Amino acid sequence: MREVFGDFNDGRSAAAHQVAVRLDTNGLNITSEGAGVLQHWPYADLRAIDPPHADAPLRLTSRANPDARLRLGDPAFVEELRRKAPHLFLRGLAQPNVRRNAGIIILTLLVLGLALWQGVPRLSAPLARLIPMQWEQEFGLAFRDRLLAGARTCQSVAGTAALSQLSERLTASLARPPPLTVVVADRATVNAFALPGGHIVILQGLLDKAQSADEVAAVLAHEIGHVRHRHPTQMAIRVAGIGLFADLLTGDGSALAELAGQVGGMLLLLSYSREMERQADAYGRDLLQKAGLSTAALARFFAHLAAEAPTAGGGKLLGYLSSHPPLEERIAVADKDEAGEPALDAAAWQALQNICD
Amino acid sequence: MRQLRVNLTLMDDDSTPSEASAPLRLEQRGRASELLPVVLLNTLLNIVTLSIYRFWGKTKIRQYLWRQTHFMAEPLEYTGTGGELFKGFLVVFFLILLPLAIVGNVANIYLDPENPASLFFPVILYMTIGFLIGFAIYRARRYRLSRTVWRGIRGGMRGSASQYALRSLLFWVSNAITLGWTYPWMQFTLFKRLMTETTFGNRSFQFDGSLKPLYGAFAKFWFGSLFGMLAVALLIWGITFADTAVSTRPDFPFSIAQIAFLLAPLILWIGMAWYKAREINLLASGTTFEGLSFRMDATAWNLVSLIFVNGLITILTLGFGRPFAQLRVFRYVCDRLSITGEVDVAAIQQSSTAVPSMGEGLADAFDLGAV
Repeated sequence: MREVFGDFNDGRSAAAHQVAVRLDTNGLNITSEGAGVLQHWPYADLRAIDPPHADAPLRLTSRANPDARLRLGDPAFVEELRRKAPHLFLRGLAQPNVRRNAGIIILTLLVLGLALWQGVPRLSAPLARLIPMQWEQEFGLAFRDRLLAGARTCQSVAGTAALSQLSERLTASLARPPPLTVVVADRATVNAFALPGGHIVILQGLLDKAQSADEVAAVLAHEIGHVRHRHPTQMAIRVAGIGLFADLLTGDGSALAELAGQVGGMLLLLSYSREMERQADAYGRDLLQKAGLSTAALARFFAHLAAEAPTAGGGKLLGYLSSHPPLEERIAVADKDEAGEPALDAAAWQALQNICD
Repeated sequence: MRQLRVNLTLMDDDSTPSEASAPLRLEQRGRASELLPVVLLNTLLNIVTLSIYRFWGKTKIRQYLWRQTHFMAEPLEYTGTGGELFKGFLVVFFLILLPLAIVGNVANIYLDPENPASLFFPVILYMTIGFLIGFAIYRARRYRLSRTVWRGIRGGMRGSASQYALRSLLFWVSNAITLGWTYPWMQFTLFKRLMTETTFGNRSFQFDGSLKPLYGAFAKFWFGSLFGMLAVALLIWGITFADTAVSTRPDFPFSIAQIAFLLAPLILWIGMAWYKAREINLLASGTTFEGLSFRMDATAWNLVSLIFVNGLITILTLGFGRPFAQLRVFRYVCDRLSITGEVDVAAIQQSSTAVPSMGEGLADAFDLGAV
């Protein structure tokens, strides 16, 4: 068998040694004139430092002596070595460590996916119940103040009376009504929302657009449903949870990855919230029935809103992306519902509509 | 192609003739065209894996940058793995970042603004983060050096990360109080600490610089920038009051405030680059290793162009092109560092100190370090 020269570092000092290298039946024999056999590296123990490249010398180490280095420059000799130790020349997924790393990455992605898909939504309700109601109320109040920054909360005497009459009527059937703080804010937007700690905000714009007190009662019942299920707190926990996983994924701050993480998180949140809206719808319908009120009013309210601005509520894509269930679905559910007694008498309804005056 | 050399035995510890003739310099032979396929594959895999691949991708880049860096015509070697970086990241994320974020947010929500604790809390939080940054810098350096191998011998750091972090934090506080006047002292002290604790095999680097010239350069920078800004202020005052016709003309393209906002940081930036170049040169020339001494040739201009172009590369590629900026930093250092003296490399032995088992999770979290 042919012998070639190689450069050798023994792993104990930085000295460079020129050595003679020979391939024998089961390994590399490294000898130095005068010192005899320095090392014998079995083929199975060999490891390439850099991926082998035709133009560069082959750099090797051995598992038994991982600090030692051997550099071989003779291409014909390297070719002979390839036949004896083909594992040095594997590329890509053929290498066991590359396959193991791919496995680690796939497993991590699966664990993260499972945690996002099942863990966060399932854990948010029990976690929300763990939070003391008083904390939640303080937080909700602070949150409401920040949200309504600049907008007045309306408090005309007759209007406030009508509002509490409405919410008392809705919760009269409940053995343990949730703590509720319902206010009307002087904003023209048509909206209402529930915040942590039983804070419900109705915007004046919604009162203006509603055609009867029944519709406002339906909206309020829906929001009480959110409060009952502690949806706002669950939502806060979900946002925090998704943020946590997004951070885990995109710690290295490449702008594109971060953007993808944010968009993905938003879509996930929207799908969570559609499920919450259905729960709140169901709970609200139940409240209305028990209070003897019309259960069709919510769908009616949305239907005439949609008729006024057909692009806002209708389209399939918008319906999918928006946080509420598609209107068609709500109307379909409401079709089976019947009318009930009026929620407020005409005078009280008038007072509620003018609560901001 | 095989060179015939005199065969040497292991008993002979003298430098070989080829070592005596090997150039005493760092060389970066990496080329952007070779780096490109690595970067492209990394980018693709980062997108596919929602960026979890980044630890392995970063390792690939380091392997390339290290492999292309030669000392005495022999390449460095990076022996770290992506798995180590990933493990380091997970540990830091769950043990440090997550608790820190939870404490920060809970305090933010529940601390009454009138409670005096709400005043101290941010201070404590920022101090903690400041400490962690110093800690991260040291730990990252230790990890990288322990994974840097030349002729089979490892580098390392033999000091304490928390000692370094504590000093760094105290210096930053005093920098703020003294309007920057402790900055050169800080740079000097921290660099000295880092260098004298840096090892290659069983040998340490030494540092014997002097602080005085550093303060000379800093004073020029500090007063120069101050006068520069005063001059801008005077100029603007002159334009506004002496010639209102110019600044109020409708075709005058910039407002006075815009000019001031552009000029002030520019003056500071150029002054800082000028000082930094001097600092780099002075600190380098105070450093020795065994029989070797070092000299850097940094100038305000080459430093500004390095940082400016690297910033452009990173921004224009949405961060994916960062390895090219890193290659430029390696090249900058290798091209401008000259090494003189004689070193008996054969006498340097492998160090027996323990090496860290995990990667630089903290530095990754704070986005520290160019590489």
